[in-house]
Amino acid sequence: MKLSLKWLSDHVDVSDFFDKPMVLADRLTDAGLEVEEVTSLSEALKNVVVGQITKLGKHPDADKLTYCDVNVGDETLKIICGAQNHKEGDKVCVAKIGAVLPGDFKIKKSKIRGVESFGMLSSNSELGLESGSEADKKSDGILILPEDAVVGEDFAKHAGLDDVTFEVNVTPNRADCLSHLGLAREVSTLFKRPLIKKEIKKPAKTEDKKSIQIDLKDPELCPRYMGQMVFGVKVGPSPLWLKQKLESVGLKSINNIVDVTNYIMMDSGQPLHAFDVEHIDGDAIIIDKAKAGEKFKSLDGTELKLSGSELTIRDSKKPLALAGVVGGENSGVTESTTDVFVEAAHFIPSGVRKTSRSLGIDTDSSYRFSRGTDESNVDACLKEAVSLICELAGGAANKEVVEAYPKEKAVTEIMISHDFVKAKLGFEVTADQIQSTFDSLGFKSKKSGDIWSVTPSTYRWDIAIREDLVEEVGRLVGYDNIPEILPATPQVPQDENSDYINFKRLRSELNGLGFHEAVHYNFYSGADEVKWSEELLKWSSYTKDNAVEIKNPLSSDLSRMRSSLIPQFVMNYVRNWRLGSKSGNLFEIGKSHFKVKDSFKENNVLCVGVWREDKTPVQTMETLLGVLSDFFEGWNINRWRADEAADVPSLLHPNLSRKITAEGKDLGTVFCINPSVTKDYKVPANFCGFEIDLDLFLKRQPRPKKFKDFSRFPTVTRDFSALVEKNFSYDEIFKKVKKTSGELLKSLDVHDVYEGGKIPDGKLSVTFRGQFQASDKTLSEDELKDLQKKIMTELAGL
Amino acid sequence: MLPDKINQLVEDMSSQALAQMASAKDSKSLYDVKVEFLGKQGKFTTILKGLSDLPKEQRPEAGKVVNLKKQELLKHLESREADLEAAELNKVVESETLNFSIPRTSKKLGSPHPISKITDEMISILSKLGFSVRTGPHIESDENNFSKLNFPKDHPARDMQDTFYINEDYVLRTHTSPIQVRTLENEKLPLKILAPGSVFRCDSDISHSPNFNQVEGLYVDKNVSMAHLKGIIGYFVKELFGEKTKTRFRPSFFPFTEPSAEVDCTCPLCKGKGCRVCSNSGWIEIGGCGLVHPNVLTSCGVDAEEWQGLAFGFGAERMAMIKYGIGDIRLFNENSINFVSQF
Repeated sequence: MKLSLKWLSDHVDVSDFFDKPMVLADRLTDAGLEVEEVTSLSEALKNVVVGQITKLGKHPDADKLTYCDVNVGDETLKIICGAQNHKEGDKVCVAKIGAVLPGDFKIKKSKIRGVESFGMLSSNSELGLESGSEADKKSDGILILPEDAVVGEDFAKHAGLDDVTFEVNVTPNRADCLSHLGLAREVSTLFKRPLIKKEIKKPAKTEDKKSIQIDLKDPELCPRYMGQMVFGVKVGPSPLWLKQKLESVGLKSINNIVDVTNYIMMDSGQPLHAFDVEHIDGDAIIIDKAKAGEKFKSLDGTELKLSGSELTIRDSKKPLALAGVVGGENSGVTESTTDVFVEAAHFIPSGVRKTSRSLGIDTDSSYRFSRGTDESNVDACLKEAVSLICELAGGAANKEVVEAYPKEKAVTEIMISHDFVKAKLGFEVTADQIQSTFDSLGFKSKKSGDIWSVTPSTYRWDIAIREDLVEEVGRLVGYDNIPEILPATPQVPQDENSDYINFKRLRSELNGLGFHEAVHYNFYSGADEVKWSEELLKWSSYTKDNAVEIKNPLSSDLSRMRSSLIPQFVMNYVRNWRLGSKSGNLFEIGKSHFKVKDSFKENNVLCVGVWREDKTPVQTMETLLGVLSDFFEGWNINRWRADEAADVPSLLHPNLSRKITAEGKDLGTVFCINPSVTKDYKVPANFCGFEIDLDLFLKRQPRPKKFKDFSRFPTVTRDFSALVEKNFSYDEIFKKVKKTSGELLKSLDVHDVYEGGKIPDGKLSVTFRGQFQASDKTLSEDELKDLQKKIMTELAGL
Repeated sequence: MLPDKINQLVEDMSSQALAQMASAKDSKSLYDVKVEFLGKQGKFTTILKGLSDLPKEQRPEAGKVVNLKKQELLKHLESREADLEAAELNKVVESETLNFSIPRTSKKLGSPHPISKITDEMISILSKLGFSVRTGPHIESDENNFSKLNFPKDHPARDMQDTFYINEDYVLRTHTSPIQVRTLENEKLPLKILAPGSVFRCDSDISHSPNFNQVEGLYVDKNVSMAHLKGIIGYFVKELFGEKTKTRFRPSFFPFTEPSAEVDCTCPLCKGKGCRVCSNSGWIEIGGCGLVHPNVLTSCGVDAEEWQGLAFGFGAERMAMIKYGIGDIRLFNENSINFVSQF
């Protein structure tokens, strides 16, 4: 809501705030009406005044420059000017020394070709007034002011620019503050200043004709509807004061009739509408729902198709307006209009909001109606509008005022005790403070004992329960009075969320393993990510139909909720590589989203990505597998495998991508990027990662670790070489060694792998390194030799 | 052999041995000396063997002399041995030098994302006051996200939060408040919970992210006031931004609280003196709060006459931006290594 201080002065004395608007702004903000911006035009035009050229001479050294004596009221200044459009006696706009014109142009004493100049005669553009309200818009030369301009007066005042405007962020509950009157009431309460009562002039001319009648079919959506006719109006431009008022709050002047309705809306908060009587068929205005499928063309020419749920204002044949939202092209006021029907009504907020949202039309009117207007002030606003129309457009007001108001609004009465206010606010508010809050807000209240019975003003329809009154007391006494007290309550033990505990541990472990944490959006960005996610869905047990789609995304390629983090990690790798991070470790703990029949499923997942500038994809995968293994071990999960899987998606490397299984459950995927994908992005293909389902992974966590007694006898290392198939299974070798050595085997590592040379194709020479230890003795050399022999025999049989 | 001769021989042998020990440069050559004179086949053994030539009664006396000398030499050898070893170790130590000025790294530690870091910090502060974490889904019913939180359908308050819709009945949660609903409906009172998590608004620019994070708190008990709210938030802000940070409440509006307030704290960057970040006001807006609206309690099956609540919420990105001095909200989701490795 844009507030003009000048306009506000119509309702309450705020003359002292023109110089210090921040005092008013801060007070409003403290009271819950946040002022987001304060604009003072007169501040910007300080030291710019009206002057008169008393003598026009030539610069002694330059033909094209004039040398003027300019009377600025209290003194006469010598000013050099380069323009040619001025003559002696002209009233001009003078930027005195000290003025700062738009563009941070500071006016200083200057010397031009040896002659001193004490200011500048300014043009419209120099003043930043290209589109200003000053009539003269000639851009060549300086601004020549009308003869009646007062010499010495601030230019801002002369041009009607001596206003301060406030951008007030009005919260949805304070619809009463969407007008100058509303904000004036607030100022009156906050500063204890009386409201100025406006006098409404009686129309100079009246008529006594049969009025168009009202047929209110839907009193639920429209509890009150009023109208009055004005005959013989002359539609034309509005007077300057009205134009300036509307422009000061950012509205365009249209014509005197429409401007009056807008003026009343911005002044009192009541939107109005004027219909051209000539285009109303029949003798009644009907307030009823639209007919399904009906067409309607709004004032701005937009063609709409109505669903039937919209409340319309109609005549016997057609819709004339969408109630409270927008008028129709068919019945708007035009230059040829002579008779008008002025509408003032109360529409139910939810109905107006629904129409406005479903058709996508937001107007100043719908904004106010959908937040709530003052039902009991409809008649006063109509009266003022008709009076102003008669005054400005010269018509005759019809004596008959028509109205449909079947059920007057029930009066709210709230009971509230002194103790309740104190308990809620948490400090000692006195009965006087409470009473004066109600009084200053204009709420009717009656106190009996410790309990008040309060009737809020009709425009404060947001006050419905005791707590609402507590807030009013709190904000007017001042939230600063609330002390800081920690609640002294008996401790009730609360279980910490196990996911939170586990995720925190996972994060710190992964940090320890050298991984930085990433947080991506929960929806994909771009067509590639979506395409890849569909492939991945297919590879898992889901299909494309399980993807979750946003109905109203920011843009069409930001509409898919992520079902796997892998596509985002791939794009992230590409981005990071291009930004110069050629090696990296990243992880994210996030959610995957699925639609399953009519409901939704979200899984917690962990995704990890690794890329290494100095390593091949195979080596990168080896690094990653080491991480994966350490990671699983930390969580006491020992039986896990990377199983080959068919139909690897084209995003992934067919040989280097596998399904991870742990303890018989499908946990996720370990993958390397397919080089055909990275080729398109012109980045290397050494990007690997894994993604696992954390809900499954954490199912039986934490697993208590149990102490196992350990041997005090020495451990002995023995190496064995064997010729094996290239894709040998370590598990098989391990089983063979274990079979022979039993409990003595502590570990078995692949120590060295050799191929080529004398090794036949398809075979490898692998050196395994075993650690052996007995629990009850030191192993003798003979025992070890025997063991080694047996193992070699086993491995030779491969 | 005569005893005198033996004595003489022992003396000669001893001086020889002592001379060689003294000239031994390292433990190896010292060992050689030991073998030559004192070993099993050494020169002293030979002398001892030669004693058998003496008359029986002279043997013990002569043997004693030889053995005494031998003991004396062994002792000397040991001390010499210790000296040599010490010198050798010293040499090794002397040779081991390093230039400590050269930068070296081991495997670098990873870092948490600033959102996790700030969220963890916020949670750990509030958990000291007894709050514990609850979670909920991103895709929420319209009912949990709006209706039960006192946002009726077609109420203008819904315009305060630009909502992503999945279908008629489901939205991407616009705040973590539906977790309050889930907890109130399912857990025993009194309770103190925190609801951290990802939330969604149809809005994107330098200061608005379509998918950002919140941490909300809810405390429901029998006597809850605005003063408690200010107490909890005042404590929280001091812990997070420093002991001298002040808190102020400004009246505001949220459908699910009444009274409602916006929370400002003295700008942690300029300590309230005024700077670019706080637009020279010295104050910075950090969140919203209020006493739980009775309609919310009622719609969650809680007796609003018996129980009251307070609730507060902060944006994690906003807190991280203030605490770490991050200027652009979009950095949080770009996940550049250069960014995420800094926290």
